[in-house]
Amino acid sequence: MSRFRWRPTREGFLWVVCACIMLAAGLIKTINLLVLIGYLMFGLVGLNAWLAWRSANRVSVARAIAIPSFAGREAVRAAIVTNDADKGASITILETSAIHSAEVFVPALLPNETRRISTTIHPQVRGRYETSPISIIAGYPFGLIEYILPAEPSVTLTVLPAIGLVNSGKLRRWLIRTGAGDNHIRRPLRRQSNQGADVRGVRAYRPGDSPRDIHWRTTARRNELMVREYDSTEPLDVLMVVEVWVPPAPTAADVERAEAAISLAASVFWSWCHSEEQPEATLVLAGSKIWRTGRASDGFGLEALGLLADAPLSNATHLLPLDALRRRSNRCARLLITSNPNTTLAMELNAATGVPFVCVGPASPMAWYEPPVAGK
Amino acid sequence: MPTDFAFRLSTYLTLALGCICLGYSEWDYLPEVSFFTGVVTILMVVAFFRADRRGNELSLVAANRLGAAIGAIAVIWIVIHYRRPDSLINTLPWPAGGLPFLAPLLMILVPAKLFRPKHVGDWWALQGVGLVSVGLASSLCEDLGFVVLVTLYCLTGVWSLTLFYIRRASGHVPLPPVTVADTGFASWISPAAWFRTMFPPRSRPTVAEPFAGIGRPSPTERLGRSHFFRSVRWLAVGVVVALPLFFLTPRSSSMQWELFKSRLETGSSMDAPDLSRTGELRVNSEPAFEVYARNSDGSPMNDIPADQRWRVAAYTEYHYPQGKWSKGGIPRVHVTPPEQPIPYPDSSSFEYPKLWDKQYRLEFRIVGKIAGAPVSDPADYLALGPPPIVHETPSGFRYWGQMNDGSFSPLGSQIGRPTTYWQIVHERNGNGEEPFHVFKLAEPFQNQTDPRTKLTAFPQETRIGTLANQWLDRWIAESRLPAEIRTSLNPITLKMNEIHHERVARAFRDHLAYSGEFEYTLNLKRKERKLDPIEDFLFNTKAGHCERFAAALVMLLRSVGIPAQFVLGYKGRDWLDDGHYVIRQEHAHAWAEVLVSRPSTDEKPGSGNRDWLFLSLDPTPDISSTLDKTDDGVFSAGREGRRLFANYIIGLNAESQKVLTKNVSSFFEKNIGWLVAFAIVLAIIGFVVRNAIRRTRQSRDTILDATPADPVPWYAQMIAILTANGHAMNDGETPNEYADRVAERLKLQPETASVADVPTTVTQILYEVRYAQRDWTDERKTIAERAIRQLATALSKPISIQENRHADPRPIDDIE
Repeated sequence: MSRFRWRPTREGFLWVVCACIMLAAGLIKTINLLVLIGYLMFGLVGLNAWLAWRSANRVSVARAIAIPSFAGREAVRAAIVTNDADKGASITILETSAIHSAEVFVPALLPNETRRISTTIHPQVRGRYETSPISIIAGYPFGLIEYILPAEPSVTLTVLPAIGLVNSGKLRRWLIRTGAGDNHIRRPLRRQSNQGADVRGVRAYRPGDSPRDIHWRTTARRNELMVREYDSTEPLDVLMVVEVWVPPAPTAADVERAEAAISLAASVFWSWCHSEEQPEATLVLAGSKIWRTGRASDGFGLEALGLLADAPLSNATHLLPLDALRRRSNRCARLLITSNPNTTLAMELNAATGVPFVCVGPASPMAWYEPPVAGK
Repeated sequence: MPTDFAFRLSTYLTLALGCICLGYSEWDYLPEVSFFTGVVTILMVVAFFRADRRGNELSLVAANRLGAAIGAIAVIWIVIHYRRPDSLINTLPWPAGGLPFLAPLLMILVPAKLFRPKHVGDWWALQGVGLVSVGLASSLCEDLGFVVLVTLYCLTGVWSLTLFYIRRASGHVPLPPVTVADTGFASWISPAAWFRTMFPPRSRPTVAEPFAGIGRPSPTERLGRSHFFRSVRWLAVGVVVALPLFFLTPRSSSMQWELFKSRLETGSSMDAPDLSRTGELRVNSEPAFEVYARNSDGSPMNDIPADQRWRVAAYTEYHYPQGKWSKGGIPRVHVTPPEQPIPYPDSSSFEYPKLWDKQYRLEFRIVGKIAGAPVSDPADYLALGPPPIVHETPSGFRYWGQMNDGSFSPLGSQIGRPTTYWQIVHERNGNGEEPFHVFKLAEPFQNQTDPRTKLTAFPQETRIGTLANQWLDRWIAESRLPAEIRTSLNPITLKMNEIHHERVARAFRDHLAYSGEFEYTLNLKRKERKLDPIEDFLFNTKAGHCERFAAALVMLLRSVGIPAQFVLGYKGRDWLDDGHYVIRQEHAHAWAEVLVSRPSTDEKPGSGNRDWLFLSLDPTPDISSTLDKTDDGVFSAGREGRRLFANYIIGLNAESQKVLTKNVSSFFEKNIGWLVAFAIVLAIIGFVVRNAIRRTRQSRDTILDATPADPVPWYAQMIAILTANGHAMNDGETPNEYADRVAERLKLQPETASVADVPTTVTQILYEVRYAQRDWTDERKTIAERAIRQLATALSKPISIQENRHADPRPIDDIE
C-alpha cells in the first residue's frame, strides 16, 4: 500500500488540469473571473480531500468469513461495515485479486449504523489467490480525489475446480457394476423378490425411475405405473485417488485433459459429500503426501477439494500416501481418476492395497456425468 | 439510460446556465448567438423530458447526424460573417476575433451529446463543455449580471458534481466501452494508453443500500434535495478557500484582457476618448487626486460645492465615424501673454497676492493616473495680474498661463508635469459656468490658425446638422429662440452670428439635459455599429454616459457653426477631513466648452470688438439618481458593495492589490483589539449555535428512530435476525421464496420447528401491506411482534453441532 493515501482520480486529474488552465489564462490575461473560478476549482478539490478523509476515518470494516468457491460459479464476497462516528459517511469498499475486483459503494451510512455488504464474483480458474487488503476508499462528495485506508489484511481466496453434474444413482450403479476394478462391466444380480424386507412400499412412477422397479402387479391393479420404493441402503464409502498427470512437455490438449480430470474428480467427490448420507470419504492426490479423509459433508467436501484447487500438473504421480489407502471397509468404492490415458497407477494401487480400483478418465464414457460448460 | 430526477435536473441546469452565461456574454458582440442560446435551451428542455427520462435517446448515428446538421448551419453562419467586411471576424485582431464565434459551436455540443446514449465519459464531457463555455464567457463579459449567472452555474455545478459522484459510485451510470489497448510504439505515444497506466480502470461498482421497495427510488436516488443544501455550504467553503488565494496571488502590471474594447471604467483614461466602446461602465473608486482647500485666512475650507468640476484636458478634433477624440489641430499658445514679464516669486517668501475680494486657495496633489493637470473649473484669470496657478520647482515658484484651448500650462520651459501645485479660486455666487476671464481673438475670423477654425470643423456627411437645424426650427417656431438667428448671419462666414452663439448653445444644452429625450446610463450600447457613435446616440440609442452627451453637444453646436470642444475632467468630490478632499476616478466627467463672445467691455461701444471666453456647458442629465448617490442605507450599501466588487474582484490588478493590502494591514493594525474581541465573541456564538444544532438534531433523530420508516419494519427486523443466524437472503430471491426456504430449514431443528411458520406469516403481512394496500392494523402489528419475538427466542437457543450441518447447506458467510 502506498504511503500516500490520497490519490487523484482520473476525473480529478483532468479537473486539476482544467483549473490550472483557467488560472494561467486568468493570470496571464488578467481575467479575474477565470482566476477566481480556477481557485474555486482548487478549493473544491481541497474540500473533497478533507471530507473524504473524514468519511474514511469514521468507518470500520470487518471481512466476513470467506469460504471456497467453485470455478465457473457465482461466489459471494461479504463484509460488515460500521459507522463508528456520530455523523454520516459514504465510502466505497474495494477488494481485488488476480481474478476479481469487488467494489461496493456504501452510501449514506447513518451514525452508528452497521451494514452488511456483499457482492458476487465469478471466478473462472481454480487456484489459491492472494486478495488485496480490503480498502476503504472515500471520494465523497465529488470523486475528484480519493482517500484510501487499508481496513482488513489480505486473505487467500480459494477457487475450487469447476464441477459438472453427477447423477448419483447412475454413478452408484456404475460403480457396483465395475466394482472389480478391471473396468469390465458386469451384470449385477437382479434384485430378488424375496428381499421384501428392503421394500418399503410402492409409489407412482416418476420419470427417471428404473423400469426394473416397476411393480407390475400393482400397476395392473391400479391401471397406473407404480414402482417399488426401497429403504435406503447402507452408505457407500469412497476412496478417490486423483492423478493429475501431464507429459513432461505438455500441450494445450494435455493441460485441458488434466483440468478435465480435476473437474471430474471434484464433481464426483462433491456429489458424495453433498448427499444426505454420511459415508467416509477420502481424497488422495497422487504425487503428493497430502490427503483428506472424513465424514462426507459440505464442509468437509469444501475443505478436501482445496487439495484440488492448487493441485499441480505433473508427470511425477507415483508417490502415494499409503496410510490413506489401507484399512477400508468392504463397502468402499475405490476410484482412480486420472488424466493419464496409459496409467499404471491402478495396478500399483491394486498391488499396494490388494483391492482393485475403478479407473476413470475424462475421456471415459460416463453416462452419469456432464462436464462443466466452459464460461458458465 | 434513464436517470433519476434530481441528477438530471442538476446536470441540465448546470449545462443550461453554462449556455446562458455564454449567450449573455455574447449580447454585445453577436446578438444572434444570444438568441441561439434560447434554441439550445429549448432543445435541452426537450432532452430533459423526452430523451433521458423515458430512455428514448437517439442512436449514436442519429445524434451525430443531428449534431453535424446543426454544426453545418453554424459553419455556414461563420462563412457568411467572414464574407461581411464589417463583421467582427474581419474587424477584430486574430485570434481574439474568433472567440465570440466559438460560442455556438460549444453550445451545439451540449444538445448533440444530450440526445445520445451516455456513459460516464459523456457526462464528464458535457460538464467540460459547460466549464469551457463559462470560461469563454468570462473572457467576454464581466458585469454584475454575468457574475450572478456564474455564481448560479457554480452552485448547480457543485450540486450536479455531487449527485454524479453518487450515481457513478453506485454503478448507476454505465462505464465507457472498453477499447482495444494500443500496443507497441502506439502505446508510448497514445495519451489514452498513458492515462490507462496512470489511472487503471476499475470494474463497475455495486451499491449496498437498504431495499426501498419495488418501484420506489433507492436511497441514493433520493439524495437530491438534501445535497442541494449541502452544495450551497460546500460552494461557500470553496469560495472562502479561493478568495484569500485570489487576493494574495501576485498580479501582473500589464493591461487587463481586452477583446475589442477597452476595459470600461469610470475615470480619466490616459487614452483618447473612444465613444465606440460598449458594455457596462464599471465604477472605479481609485483616487485620482487630492485637494487641500484653505480660506484666505489659512483656515480649512469645507464647503467646496458638491458639483464642483475639475477641468483636465480639452479635445478638439473628432474622428468621424470612428468616434474618437484627439487633441490635434490647434497650436497651443498662451492666449494672454503678460504684457510685462511677471517676476517669479521667491520660493522662500512667496505668499499669494490677493486677486479677488473673495478667494480661496486649493492645493492639488496628483495620486492617480490622470491625462492632465486638473484645475478648478472655471479657472478665473485676472488680466495683467499674476496667473492664478503656480507650482514649485527646485529653483522657485513658477506660474501657469492659460492656453488657447482653455487649459493652463506652466510658463516657460518645463520638464515633466508637477504633481503638486496651487490654484487661487475666485469665490462667487451663481451657477459656476461664468468664467471671469476673457481674451481677444483676431478679428475678423479669417486666420486658419484661429481656434474657431478647428472648433467648428464638422463632417458634412453626417445627419447631425440636419437634426440640429430641425431642432433650431422647432425652437424658433416655439419662440424659445428668436428668428434672427436664421436671418442675421455673420457677413464674412455666412454662418450664425456670434451674438447668438451663447443662447443657441444653452438651448442645445438644455434640450439634451432636461428634455427627457435622452437618458443617462452606465450601460453603453450600440444599435448600429456601422454608424458614427454620436449619430447612433442621437438617432437610435438616445442613452449613454457623459462622454456621449458632451460629444453630441459639441457636434450639434459645430454643425450650426458654433465653435466648441470636448472637455474631460471630474465633477464632485469626497470630503475626507478638514479642508481635505479626494477626487476619485468615479467622479470623472465630460462636458463641452463653447467658445462664445460678448461685446468688449474695454473698447468703445460700437467698435464691434468682442471678448471671447470658453463657456462650460454640461449637457449630462442629473446623474445623482442614476448612480444611487443617495445616503439611504440600502442603496449606499449596495453601491458600496458594487464598488468593492468592481474594484477588488473584477478589477483587481497590481495597483488595487497594493491598495487593498495596505488598507487591510492598516485596518488590522488599528483594530486589532476589536478584532480579537470579535473573534472571541464569534467563537462563543459558534459554540453555542453548534451545541444547539446538535441538540436539535439529536431530538429529531430520536423522533425519526421512533417513527417506522418502513410500513412493515418488522420484516427488516426478521431478516436481520435470520441473517445473523445463518439464514441470509440470497440475491434475487423473492420474500416468498426466502420465507419458504427458511421455513423448511427451521422445521428440521427441534428448537426452531415451532417457529418455522414465522417467516411465512411475516412475509404474508409484508405482501398484504406493501403490495395489496392493506392497512397496517394493530392486530397485524401484534401478530408480527409476537412472532418475531418467538423467532428470536428460538434461534438464541444453542444448537448441537451434529444437527447444525442440516441447518442450511448454503455457505454461511456471515461473521457470526
